[in-house]
Parts: sequence; C-alpha cells; structure tokens
Amino acid sequence: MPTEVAAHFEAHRARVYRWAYAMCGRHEDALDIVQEVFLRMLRRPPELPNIAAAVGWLRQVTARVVIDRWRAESSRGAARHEFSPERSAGESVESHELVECLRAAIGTLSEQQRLVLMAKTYDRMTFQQIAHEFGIAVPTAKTHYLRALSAVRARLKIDLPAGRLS
Amino acid sequence: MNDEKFQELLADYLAGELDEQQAAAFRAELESNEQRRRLAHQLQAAAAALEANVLSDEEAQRRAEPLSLQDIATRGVGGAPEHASRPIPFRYHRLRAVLRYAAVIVLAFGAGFMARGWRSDTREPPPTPVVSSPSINERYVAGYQRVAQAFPQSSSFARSLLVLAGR
Repeated sequence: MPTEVAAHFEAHRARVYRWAYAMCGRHEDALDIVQEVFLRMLRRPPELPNIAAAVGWLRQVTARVVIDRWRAESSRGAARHEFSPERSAGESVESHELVECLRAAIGTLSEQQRLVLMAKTYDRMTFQQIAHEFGIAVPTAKTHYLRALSAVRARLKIDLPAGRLS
Repeated sequence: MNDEKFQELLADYLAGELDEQQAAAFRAELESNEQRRRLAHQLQAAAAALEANVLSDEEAQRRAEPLSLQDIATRGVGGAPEHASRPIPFRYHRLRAVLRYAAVIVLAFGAGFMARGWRSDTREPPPTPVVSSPSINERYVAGYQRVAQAFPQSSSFARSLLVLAGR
C-alpha cells in the first residue's frame, strides 16, 4: 500500500467525510463515499506535490463520487432516504427533505460552480484562495458562488419577505 | 451602485468577507432598494441551508475514525461494489425480459429474410411430382403441364390441386 496514500488518508479522511456528509446528510453514505474516494486514490495514486493540491484533488473526486452516486441511485430508482428505525439520532425527516432539495440543487450546478460552493461553504476559503486554487479570476469565483446559491434558493423555493438582514 | 459591483459586494457580504464598515455600508445600500434587499435575504437563507449539514472538524474526525485504509484496500481487491447487493427494481427485470424477447424476434426475422434472399437467387423450378404408378405418373405430368400452360401464374401446389381435381 503506497505510504503517500496512507498519509493522505490519515490527514484528510475527516475532511472528506465532512464534505460527503454535508452533501448527503447521511452517516452511512458519507462513510461509503470516503471509502470510494480513497479507493480511487489507491487504484491510481495521483501526483500531489503539496497539501493544497491534495485537498483540491480530494474535493474534486469527492464531488464526482457524490454525483455519480446520485445518478446511479436515480437510475436504479432507489429509495434513498426512507425512514428507518436504525437511522441515527438527529437525522430528522425535515433534514432529509432539506438534503433532497440541496442534492437536486447541487446536481444542477456545473463542476466548477460545485467546487467553488464546496470550497466556500464547507472549507470557508476566501474568494482569493478559491481563485488561486482553481486558476480563475476572483469575480468569476464570486459569480460561481452566487449562481450556486441561486440554484439552492430556487430548489428550496425560498421566498422570504424582505426583512432586515442580519 | 451598478449590478456588477452589487453582485461582487453581495458575494462578499454573504460569505462574510466584508469588514464591519463595509458591511454596514452594504446594508444601507440594501435598505434603499427593496428588490436587492429581497434577493440578498433569499440568498442568505440559501447559504444557511447549505451549512445545515456541515459538521465541525472534531465531529467529522470522530465519525470517520472507524475507517481504515486496510479495509478499503481489501474491499477494493475482493469486495463487491456497495450497491451490488441491492435488489434491482421490478421494472428493470421486466425491461430486460422485453428486450431479450425483442432481440430474439428481430434475429428470427433477420435469419428468415436472409434465408429467403439466398433461396430466391438459386431457386429452381418445382420438381415434377412423382406418383407411384408410371401410367398415373404420365397422366399426372401431362395434366400438370396443361394446367401450367392454362394458368402460368399459378403455384405448383395450386396446379397439383387442379390436376387432382380433374381439370
């Protein structure tokens, strides 16, 4: 087993889990996704010269694995989030509805919009950092972020009264 | 403030990248424009929804702790895909069966057409029917030829029937 992959696994498995859980909202799915991501790394170890490159690679592969999984589930007509007694505490029906909406919204984004959204929302990177990592202009990163939020807004049918912003 | 500048500041505002002074100025801008205020409010709600499932680093670490790279490698070598054990929905069974039957029918038709095509190129005239007695056979052949002349378009079967019927 390559030692580099083992090192990346130890350093980043929690991060990959966090991304996967944020997108899927289910512990078992998130664990499967982490395994799939590192399995891909084991099968074809990439050239990752530094931590930023490793995180970028992992983020990209995680997003792809999640999207592939969603597509496979859709084509198989699998009931993804049926209520079951085994479901861990804290995963309410409401949160699953939210996850379904988010999933639909994220599924409509382009890959770059999705990655910008992940970097911004899950990793709290600045637009400057995102632009640097993805090799795009800062305004482009902001546009991707706003488009991603708009997609989520449309999917969640958010139509709030124009109150005072916090 | 033009739309482009507004969008740039809106992204910074929603991402928390404006300092206090800039944020206050932006909020004042929003207060003066109902449509922009509404948009900002909605996108803020969308951002909040996206963060609903974001775990803390500690929680993610705790939950991912049981995973081992050795297990993952083992699964990759000998394990079945995660979804392999899930039952295939009924409609896919039915679709497969329909496709299988359709393929058989298409192949049968294809083979039939091909065989017919080959035969049409090398088809020979129908053989003269053979009857057990030579005299009967002669009479039959003569009758057959008469019928063939009278009804050149008829098939050999129809000619045989006509001969047997005494025409």
